[in-house]
Amino acid sequence: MERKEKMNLDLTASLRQHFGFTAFRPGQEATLTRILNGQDTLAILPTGAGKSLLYQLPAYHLTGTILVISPLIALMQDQADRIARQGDYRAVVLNSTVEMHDQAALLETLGDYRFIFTSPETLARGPVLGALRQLKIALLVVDEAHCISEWGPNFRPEYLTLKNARQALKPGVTLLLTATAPPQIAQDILTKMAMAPEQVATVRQSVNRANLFLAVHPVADPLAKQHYLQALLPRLGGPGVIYFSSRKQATAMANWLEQTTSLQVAAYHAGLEPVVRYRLQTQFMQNQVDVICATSAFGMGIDKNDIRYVIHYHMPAGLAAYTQEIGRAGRDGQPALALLLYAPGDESLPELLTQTELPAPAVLEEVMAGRVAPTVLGPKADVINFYLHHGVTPQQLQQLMAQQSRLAQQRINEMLGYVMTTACRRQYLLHAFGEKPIEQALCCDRHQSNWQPQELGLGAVKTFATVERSYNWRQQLAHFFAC
Amino acid sequence: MSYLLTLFDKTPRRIRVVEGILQAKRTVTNLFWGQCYGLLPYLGADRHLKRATYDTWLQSQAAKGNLLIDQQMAWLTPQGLSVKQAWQTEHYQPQFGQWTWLANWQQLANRVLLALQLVSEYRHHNRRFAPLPVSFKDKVAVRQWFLQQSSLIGQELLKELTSYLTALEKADPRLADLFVFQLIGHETAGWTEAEAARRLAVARQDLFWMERDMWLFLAHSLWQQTGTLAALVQPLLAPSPLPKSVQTTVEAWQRGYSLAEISRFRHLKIGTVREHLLQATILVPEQVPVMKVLPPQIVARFAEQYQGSALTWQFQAQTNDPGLEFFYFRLLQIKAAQTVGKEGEDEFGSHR
Repeated sequence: MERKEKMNLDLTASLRQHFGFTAFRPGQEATLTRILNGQDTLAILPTGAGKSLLYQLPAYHLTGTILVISPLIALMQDQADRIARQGDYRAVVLNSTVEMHDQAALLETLGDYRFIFTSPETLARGPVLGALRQLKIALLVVDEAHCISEWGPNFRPEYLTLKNARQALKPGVTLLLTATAPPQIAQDILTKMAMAPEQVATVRQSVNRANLFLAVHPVADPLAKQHYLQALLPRLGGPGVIYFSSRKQATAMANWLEQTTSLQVAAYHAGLEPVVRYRLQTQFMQNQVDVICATSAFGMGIDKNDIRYVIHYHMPAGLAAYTQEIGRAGRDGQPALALLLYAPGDESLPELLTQTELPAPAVLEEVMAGRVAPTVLGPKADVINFYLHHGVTPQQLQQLMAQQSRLAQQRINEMLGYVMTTACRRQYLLHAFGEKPIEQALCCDRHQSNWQPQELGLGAVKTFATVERSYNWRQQLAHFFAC
Repeated sequence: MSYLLTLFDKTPRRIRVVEGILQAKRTVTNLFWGQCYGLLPYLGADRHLKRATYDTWLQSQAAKGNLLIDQQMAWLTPQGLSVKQAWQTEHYQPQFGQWTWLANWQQLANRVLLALQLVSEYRHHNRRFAPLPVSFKDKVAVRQWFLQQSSLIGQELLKELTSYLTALEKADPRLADLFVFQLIGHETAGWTEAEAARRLAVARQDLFWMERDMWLFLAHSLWQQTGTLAALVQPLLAPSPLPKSVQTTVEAWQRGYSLAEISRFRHLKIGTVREHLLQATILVPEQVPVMKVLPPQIVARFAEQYQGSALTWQFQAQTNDPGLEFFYFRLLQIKAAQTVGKEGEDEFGSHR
């Protein structure tokens, strides 16, 4: 008990000293206490809970390298950037975007970095694992750990190799991080990592975000969505994010809204050059942009607390992705809106995107034998090929894929249930995640069908577009270099 | 994609050549026809252009009645020509494409942007910032460059950039503004795209060409110069429009080696050596006196065999070494096309 209190005091002091915060967010302190006591931990904390602090703060208390496994390249860069902004440690990203000859040079200097961000695919490569084995890994972090679970919506078979990597690297302590993991998935994560449940501490926080008002707006067709947004956004002020399932539509809508409203709107997706993405993120952080029309590539790693609304133009493929994305609104605890636009038949898009057409077993055997190029396997070639080269037979794969398709359909149905429910949307969400019902005043459109932005505390604010500055390149350049 | 229409003309152009030029595919065919069409300033202007995107665009223009397409050739209809002319009037027109060979401008931009960000933050005494996500190679280059600089780096850069921007401003004031207001540094991420378009009174899609121009102008300003910025970007600047291997072949040939000898000691196929010389004839004609290569009897025979516009010549082999004969044919064709171009005849279409 005495030890725990001492640790709490140290942690709060450390938080204040290194990060300038006076209090932890829910779940952070419990997780940090366990990690720093050498206890392997599975932390299930909702988006916005401040997960990156869970591996950033231990750097001040542990000796050795902190290795973070992350599924998305864009996310890795964001996380490394955040550490650079913190300014105390060097961080490096090691993934497929680093060219081969650069990677060889990097591997020789890995010891210079306190934080190493990598992907499961890169980690599985011999030279990378070899170089990492030369280091003392104080903390191994598996971010987005739900990707390990075959039951989860974002399953990535490459994550299955992490078990071996962990055994090879022998980290001082392991932290598994995820935003959403119902009990079944949590159990599966540990099994796939070959970690005994009794030796792993689980820290779990509710998915409920009390300051989010939940709403669905049904419309007749896509055109109606467009016009609804045009009318609504100026009343909401900013900043806000609108999610799309397609880059093309995100770009088209950003252009249209920019032209037809007084708002500053920009499109963000993984197809943009990294420097362009960096610029856009910074402009959004600095309130130069009111609205971002984005694909799911946007948001992970964006630490902006005052996002006032998250709107989904397309229906997400499941509640896990949805809660994660809406969780980016209102991190400051102030009122925020989570709105989903729905036109009849919208569910067909996620159905199409999650469907996996598997070729006949005979074709799979040809691919396994190297007689046919894996490209015949279609858009999911990487996933299928991974299995075929990791001891899964074509017949087992057929079964596995059929199971995946069923699960994907189940998740879409569950999401559709959220759209269609005539009962409280918050209770629907909590029930889906196995949590107890909660009642609150400002809750959802099922309690308040004629909701107005102002009643939710979202009255239009002055948009950034109206702030015009005069300019002169000579003055700007002198200021830029502080001359 | 609308700018693509400006790359076509009322006379037929090879659609794969236009595509290859944009993607920086430097085959002799692309370079030869690219030069004839006046499109070499667009070399590498859209390196990531996808075949499917390009083909879809071609089909859409055909459907709109702007383009006619037949057997891998495309040309503008009278309506398409009007659309092209209207576009050229209403939009920013690239000015410095002739320096496209100097550098991959996007890489140059990334390296310079990171360096300027670093200096800006350093000058404002800020060590807590996220460096721009450029390649590892560029990061290392910038770090090494920065460590070699004196504490006066801010003033030096201000002086050098002011000189460059003053020259750029004379060419087009909008480019100087765009350069400075897209810099990322201490407490600034530059203008948003929409803001830049609004302030400079251009369309958003014009910003790409303006950016390309300002970086190419910078590359040209720093080429074979010394100074703080030049030290940073010199390794990215090409010494000549020719790739290194082509340059080596040309230099050997200028020293008096025959093509067969070059092929032997460079361990290159004779066809490759010929391609090198053809590339050089297109890109740096002053370095390759064509008549020195062509045997007089070939010139005499070709003069009878190939008449009229060089662009309409059809190669017909008459010897048992068609490879060599085609090499001579292409050399003469390049020479003839360049001569016509210089004389300003209407052979090359409206690009003149």
